[in-house]
Amino acid sequence: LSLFPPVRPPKKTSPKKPPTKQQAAMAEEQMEEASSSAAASGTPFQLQFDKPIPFQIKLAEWNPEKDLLAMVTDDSKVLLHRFNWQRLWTISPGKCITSICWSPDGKIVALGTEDGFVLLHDVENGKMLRSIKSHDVAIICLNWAEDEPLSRTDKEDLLSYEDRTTRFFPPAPVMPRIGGLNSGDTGLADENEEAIQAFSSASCQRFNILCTGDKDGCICFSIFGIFPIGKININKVPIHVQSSGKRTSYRLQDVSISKVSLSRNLHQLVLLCSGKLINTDNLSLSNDLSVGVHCLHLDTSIFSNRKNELHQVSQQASSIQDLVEVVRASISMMSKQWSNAMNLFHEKFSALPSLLTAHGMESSSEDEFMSLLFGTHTSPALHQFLVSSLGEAGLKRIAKTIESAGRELRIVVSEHLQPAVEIISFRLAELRGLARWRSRFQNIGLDEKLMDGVTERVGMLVVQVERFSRVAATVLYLFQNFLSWVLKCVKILLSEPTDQVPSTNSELVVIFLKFLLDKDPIKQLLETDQIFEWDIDTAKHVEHLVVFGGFTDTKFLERSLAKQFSELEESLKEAFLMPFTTVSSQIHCQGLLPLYPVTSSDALSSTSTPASIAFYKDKDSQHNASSYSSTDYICFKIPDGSLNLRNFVAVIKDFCNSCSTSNTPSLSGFLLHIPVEYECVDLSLYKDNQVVLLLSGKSSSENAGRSWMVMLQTENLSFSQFSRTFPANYYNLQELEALELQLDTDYGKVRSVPHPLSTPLAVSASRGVACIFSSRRHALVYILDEDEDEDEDEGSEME
Amino acid sequence: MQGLFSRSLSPHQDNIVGKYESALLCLGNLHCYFGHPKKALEAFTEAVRVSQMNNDDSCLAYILGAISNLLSKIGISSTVGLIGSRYSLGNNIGLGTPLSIQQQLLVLLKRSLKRADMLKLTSLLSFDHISLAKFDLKHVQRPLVSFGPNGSTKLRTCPADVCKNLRLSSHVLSDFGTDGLSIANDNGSFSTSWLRNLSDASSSWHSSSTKPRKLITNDFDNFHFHAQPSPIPTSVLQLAGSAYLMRATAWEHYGSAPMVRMNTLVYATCFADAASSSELSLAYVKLIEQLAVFKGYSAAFCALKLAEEKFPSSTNSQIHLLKMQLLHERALHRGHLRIAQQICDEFGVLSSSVSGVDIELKTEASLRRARTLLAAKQFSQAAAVANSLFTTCYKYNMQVENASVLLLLAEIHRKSDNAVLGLPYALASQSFCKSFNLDLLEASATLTLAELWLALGSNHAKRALSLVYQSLPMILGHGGLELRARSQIVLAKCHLTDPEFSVSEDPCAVLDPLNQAAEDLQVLEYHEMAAEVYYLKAMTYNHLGKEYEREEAAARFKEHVTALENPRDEEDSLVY
Repeated sequence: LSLFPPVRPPKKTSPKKPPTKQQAAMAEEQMEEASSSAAASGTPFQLQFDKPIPFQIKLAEWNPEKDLLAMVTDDSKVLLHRFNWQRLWTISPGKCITSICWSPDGKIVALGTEDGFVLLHDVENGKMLRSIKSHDVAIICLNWAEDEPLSRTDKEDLLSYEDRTTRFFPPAPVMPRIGGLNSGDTGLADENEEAIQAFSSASCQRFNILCTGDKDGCICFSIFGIFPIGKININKVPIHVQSSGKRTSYRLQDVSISKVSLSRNLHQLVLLCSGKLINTDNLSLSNDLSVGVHCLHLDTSIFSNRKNELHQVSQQASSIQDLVEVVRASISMMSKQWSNAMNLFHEKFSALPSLLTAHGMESSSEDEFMSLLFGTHTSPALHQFLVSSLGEAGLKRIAKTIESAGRELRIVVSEHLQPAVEIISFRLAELRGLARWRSRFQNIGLDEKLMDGVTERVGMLVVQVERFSRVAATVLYLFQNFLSWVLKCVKILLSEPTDQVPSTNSELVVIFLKFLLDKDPIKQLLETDQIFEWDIDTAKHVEHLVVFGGFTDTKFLERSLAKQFSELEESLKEAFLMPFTTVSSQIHCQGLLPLYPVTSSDALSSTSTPASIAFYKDKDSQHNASSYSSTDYICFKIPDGSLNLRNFVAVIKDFCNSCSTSNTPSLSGFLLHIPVEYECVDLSLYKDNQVVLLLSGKSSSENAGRSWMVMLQTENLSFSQFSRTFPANYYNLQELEALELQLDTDYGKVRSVPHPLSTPLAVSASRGVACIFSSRRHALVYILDEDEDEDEDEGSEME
Repeated sequence: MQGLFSRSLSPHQDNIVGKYESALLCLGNLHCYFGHPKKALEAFTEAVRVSQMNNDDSCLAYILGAISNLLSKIGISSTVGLIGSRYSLGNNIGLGTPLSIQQQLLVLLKRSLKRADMLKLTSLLSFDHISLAKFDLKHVQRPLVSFGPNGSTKLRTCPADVCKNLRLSSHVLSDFGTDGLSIANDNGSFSTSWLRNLSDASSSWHSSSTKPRKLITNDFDNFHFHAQPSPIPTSVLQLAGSAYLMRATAWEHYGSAPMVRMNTLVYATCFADAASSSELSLAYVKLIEQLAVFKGYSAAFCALKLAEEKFPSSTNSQIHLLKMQLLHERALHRGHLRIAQQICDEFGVLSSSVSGVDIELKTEASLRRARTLLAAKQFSQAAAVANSLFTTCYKYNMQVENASVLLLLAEIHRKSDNAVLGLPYALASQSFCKSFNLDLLEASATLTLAELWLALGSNHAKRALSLVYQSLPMILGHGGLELRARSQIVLAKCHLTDPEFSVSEDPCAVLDPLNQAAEDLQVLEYHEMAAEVYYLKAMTYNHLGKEYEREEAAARFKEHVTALENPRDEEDSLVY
């Protein structure tokens, strides 16, 4: 990412030169105001700037690696701003965007859309790299977690595995483009391709998983954001609750997921969802109260335990999928190019039969050309056709079109199709090798038999490609020969010199007339629904080869190239579905905590209730094991009226551990009462167990238009343990100790903001900044902790 | 590859090149084919002189290609002086230092390539690309001119270049129309073949019309032999096919078994009609070798019989050679050492007695002799043979062969309980493999290394285990039955010798690999290793206290040991 060296917030210096004078003046003024006020009152957060923005911002997220802020506007434009508020790019994906997150390396921004697509965009230029349809309904939340490297480097990693492909092959082919015609703007296209290439190779550095949760309760997992590895439907997940020695089974209904978070060791997943909890053993027990927001803990230890295996498989498989797309594009492109050329040819030559009938002749065009070739006579119809309706210029045009189509075909075959198929077959061979290591790869669903089948299919595809290129070469040669013969004839008829015309082979002209004038063998191979005849000799030959270890499916020569390709695709799908289902089946629900009930009218809006989940590494955890333990924190606003509470925010910790070790109940939390004249707009967990709250004055009170940003150190607040008396009582958050939040206490840092605030709040733990948005269309960026700038500078330099 | 060149140009060249120099070129090629390099070179030199006199550029390009072909064939065995004073290639690039024969070859190839590209001689271009790929496969390309400390030399072969060259050489098929030499003559050959097929075509049309399915006849499909005669010259098809054979060979080196099989199959399926019998039989040899390694001997011998019918063995030495190789391997596995020795002697007879000729055959013969001696536990003799083989390979600069000889030496030392002596050999072999990208061989060297560590004592079990894990993906994916079984045995042994490992806690970690190995070795009829597997199994069951299984394994162990020690019906080994 050479384009954007990390921009640190400049301390006590004027901001970088803004675009216009007016803005510059404004910014300086604000800066002065900010720094002076900070100096005067010791206000905790330094205001970096306050900028008007012409949009209503719906979502905002800081890049984890660079000082970049991605924002989504209400009309689903995506903006990327630098820390100094310089805009880098704007894109309009044309779909309603419902969620956003960054890849852990900060190179890709992932967008979830209302119709269930995940769009991956390049940070450099906003270009779309992938569009993956993994859900059917709106994607509400995204979480992209990377496997955190242990402090101890895995030098003696048992599975140091090398992807040999880069050593044995030149760079993989990319999608073919229509060449020649638009060679002017190849620069841009090349850039894009390079980006995609870089994405495919660079994103595979460290293992990471993108989780997406949708409105209908489905969660999808994809490795590197591109290779789907699991999908679970919360509506169908059985939830077993062990209480007082009795095991009860529950299920959630009408689930809508509002938040997912995968821990950084990929060991556990915490999600917040709304839905109706029903007792599957006793359906009558459910009541209105059971509709509410629940917190679930899923065991995703398959990801952490098998991360090396998953990494290797997905690395190979996702590259294979890329190359399959290249093959598909190549075939469709060839088919298009060729049919264009053939249309022109047939259009021009179809004039001949009609001319023949007009002259009252009963012969076919083939006969006419034959008699011209053998020098018997030239009928007036053919003469007219050649000299006037076709003409030298028309003929040359056809020749040129067919030649350029032929060249395209040749290029696509030799530079895209063949290399792609070759690399696919190599990668499949590698995967098959991995599948043989049963003790390691069987439990992530890499099936040896299925892989064998796919390897077989790709071998047949190579044969088909070879067959196609041979047919194409022959046909093109015959066309060339025929057309130059016709040209020669035209010249003779016009009594022009023919010495410029290349010499032709009359036998090949006969063959052309007989077999190509009204047939199209290239097209046949590019269509899926053709079945080819083949003779007994070939059948014998192919069957003979089976003894020598040839393809056992001896019928493959009946298929066309396109058909063979679709069969390969099918078997690939089947083979890759196996890991998908195997991994999905190993993700279980570990625990459930009902948080608060919602009435069905609230249920719709509940997804927008502010909530935040974070995992913090345990300070005392030892780095002896292969993984470290972490503690989860869940922070959410309790909607007014629910649980008979008003203006409360709850913080819960250690939910996961309490689920897995039932004998030591460590679940604890506290409630925070917000002063009545304010309401909590948004909240977020921040590093070192802190909570950042945005409070905005209620419009009825005198504090309307005045807001606060509060950062609380949760360790200063008293967590009280609470038992899960579930199922006797669903919701027992009330048990928690309620604390009054005073805006002038020592709990944490407080800063007033002279604007009414709206969602979202974007904080960046790695960069130490926060961006908040006022409902008057202003964006304010604050530096959350100045003290740590120094360390972080060093840290970033070391990177 | 042999004879490829002469075929690719002989029918057409009289169109462009003069008769005398092309006759000389053909003469040279024939000399080369029949193994008279000196005579061939004389003819080529004369051809160069004449074509230079006549300004015949294309012929010159062809001669360059032919000389490089000659060099690559005899290069390894020739000593300086063959290409010396009369045709001083080495001196005219102005460096003053004589180039090694490999570098001369590279220079020639590149020049020929440049000329072919300039003159649009697509067949020659393709041939040169294949030759370059062949060169890149076994040689590290060093820059000819590198000055100072900055002259970076990467001491590894470059497989991506091989791949690139092979892809470029395949272009010949689509570009054949642009080659000035391959314009087909109007000599009626098409009509003749068309007429010949006419009756067949019409009869097949009748038969197909009665079929219920709607079938399409693609008139240009090469799998439809009644299709129209193709205007693509046979020589072009042969060149395009050679690229696939070359790919298969390359993957044999680099270690990807499915790729070897696939590329050979593509060749055997698509290019069988145009292929020469020597190339086609090479493809079949590769397929049978794969069968022997992955499916066992019975399948391989079954296929071999068919191949012998197809290619009468009197005319084809490759099939004969393959038969001897298979018989030798099987005899070794079955423990029929007398037979193995006999076949080794036959191998020795096959090669010419002149030193420096048939070097590959001789290498293989000594390699097999050393292995036979090793199987007979005559370690010092085996080591002596292997050492002399190593010096020969070193002398002729056969680096790739060096790697396997070193591995054999390591193996000999391991078997003779000299693990410490074996270690440096295994390490050397490993580093050879690394620089020549011989991945499978490297994996098996790593495995040998693990075995050596294991032999040094139980406190090295952890190290050995991690080495085995390193090599497993490669071995399981691309290694043959024997190698796979060996790796499983080593894996089990690593666990068993590890003092921290307890069988009763995790019996599967030991028994699974052992069962797998027993299965593979059953197919291979490899008594010695099978005995080892059953021994280990019996020991494991003994630990676990499962007496019935223990007795069963012990019985099988005894079976294999008796089979090994009292080879019955040894004469069987020559029958298949």
